[in-house]
Amino acid sequence: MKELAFIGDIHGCLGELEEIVTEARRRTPRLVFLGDYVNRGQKSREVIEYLIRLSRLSEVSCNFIFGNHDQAFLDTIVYGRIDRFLRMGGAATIASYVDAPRGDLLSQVRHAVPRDHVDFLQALIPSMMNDGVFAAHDRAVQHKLEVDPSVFRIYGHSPQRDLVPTINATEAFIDTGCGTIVDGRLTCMFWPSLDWVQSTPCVA
Amino acid sequence: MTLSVVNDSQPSTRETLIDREEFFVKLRTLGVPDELLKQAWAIVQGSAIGLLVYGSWARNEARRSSDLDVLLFSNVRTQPHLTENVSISLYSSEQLIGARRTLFGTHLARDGVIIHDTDAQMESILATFTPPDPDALLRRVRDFSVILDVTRSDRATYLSGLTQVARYLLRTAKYALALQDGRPCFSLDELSIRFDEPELTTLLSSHPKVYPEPSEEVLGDLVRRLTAVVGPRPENLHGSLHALIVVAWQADRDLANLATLALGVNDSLPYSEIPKVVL
Repeated sequence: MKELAFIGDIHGCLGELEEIVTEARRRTPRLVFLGDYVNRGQKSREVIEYLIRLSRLSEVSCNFIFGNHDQAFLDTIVYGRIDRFLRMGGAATIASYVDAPRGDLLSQVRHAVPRDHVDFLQALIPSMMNDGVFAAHDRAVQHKLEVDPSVFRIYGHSPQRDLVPTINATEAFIDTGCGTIVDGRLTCMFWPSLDWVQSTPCVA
Repeated sequence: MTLSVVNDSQPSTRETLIDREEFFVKLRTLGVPDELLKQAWAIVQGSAIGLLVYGSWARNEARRSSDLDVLLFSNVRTQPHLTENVSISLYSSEQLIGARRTLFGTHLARDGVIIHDTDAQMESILATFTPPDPDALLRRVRDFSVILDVTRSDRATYLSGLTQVARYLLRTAKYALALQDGRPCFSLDELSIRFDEPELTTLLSSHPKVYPEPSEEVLGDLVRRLTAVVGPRPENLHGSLHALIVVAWQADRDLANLATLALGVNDSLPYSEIPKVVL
């Protein structure tokens, strides 16, 4: 069985995503994305486009978990919760979809986000359990699911201030601030070895 | 592709336990009542790079009902929950250094009383602070006042947030005027006497218990006073507050952040998602 590659929070950083996916695919075709594809970086639309294209390749197997930012983006389109999205930094994502924001922005967003992007967001999964490892965006999710505590768990969501993943006997946290922290990186961690690689520092 | 390298050239950002005894003794010296002290301690206890008290208690002009303004300087603490009588601003190294030429930074350096400071890190950062250029500040306030050019519908929906932004801008403009006169001052009591506008003490207070309830009248009053200082506000050419936020996000991030504050913070969203806006 090929190893699994877990990729942390991307936050609209396309270059770093391309770099890390290329690196991961040198070792395995089995990719798991931990969520927060949008906001902060300048290329949220391009990131989602790239992930959709990637998921259509027959030689790659992708799992996409949802992050709170992706959920808020979807809630904007489906339920019109645009204020909440903007307070989370949704302007970055909206700017990547809407060329000339004017007046009724919500209608513009609904018009500008392509159907396959909405489908992508709606198909995101809350967590994944495979090969004896559990993954979710936010550690808080695990408590709702009663995951066997002996299973190793991998999370994103919480930026690790020292820009490297935090790994202990039972858990790993691999959001290393891509798009969030100055000089943040995108991290890919491999299971079962727990080896990890990072992108060059992001420029967002 | 790089594996991470630990950067040894970073300055120290060591955090140490805040000493309870020292905290109580220093704050009692400022006259802070024990009840308020205990509330504050419950929130700030733990480790931090530094801790500083500013505002009316630090200036020795507090009333018994005044809030305690505390700056918690830490790179690892999380934003404490809001408390009624204690206002805590959590700043990281990056944020504090970023306040170097701002009004808020000048306020801290001028009025602040240091309670805790690991390796004198906070003191050495504050020592580099210089006042901002008051004319540039007033121009910036005028630029930001575009946020207050809203449609009737936005004004009704976001009355509370818009009032908050207007209050922040007018307060900043008045501080800038005092700076322009060569007499920097962060006391609303004193400024209301200097400018002969007794209402400023309540109108510009940052405490919900003191300032008037948001209303069309209060917002109108703030805008009139603001216009008198910085001139007429620029026109929002984008047709809505939402559109202004997105356009500004690309062109002027501080404007975008402040405009986002005008949406209000009345649902469950954490404050930490909105970057600090400092003038």
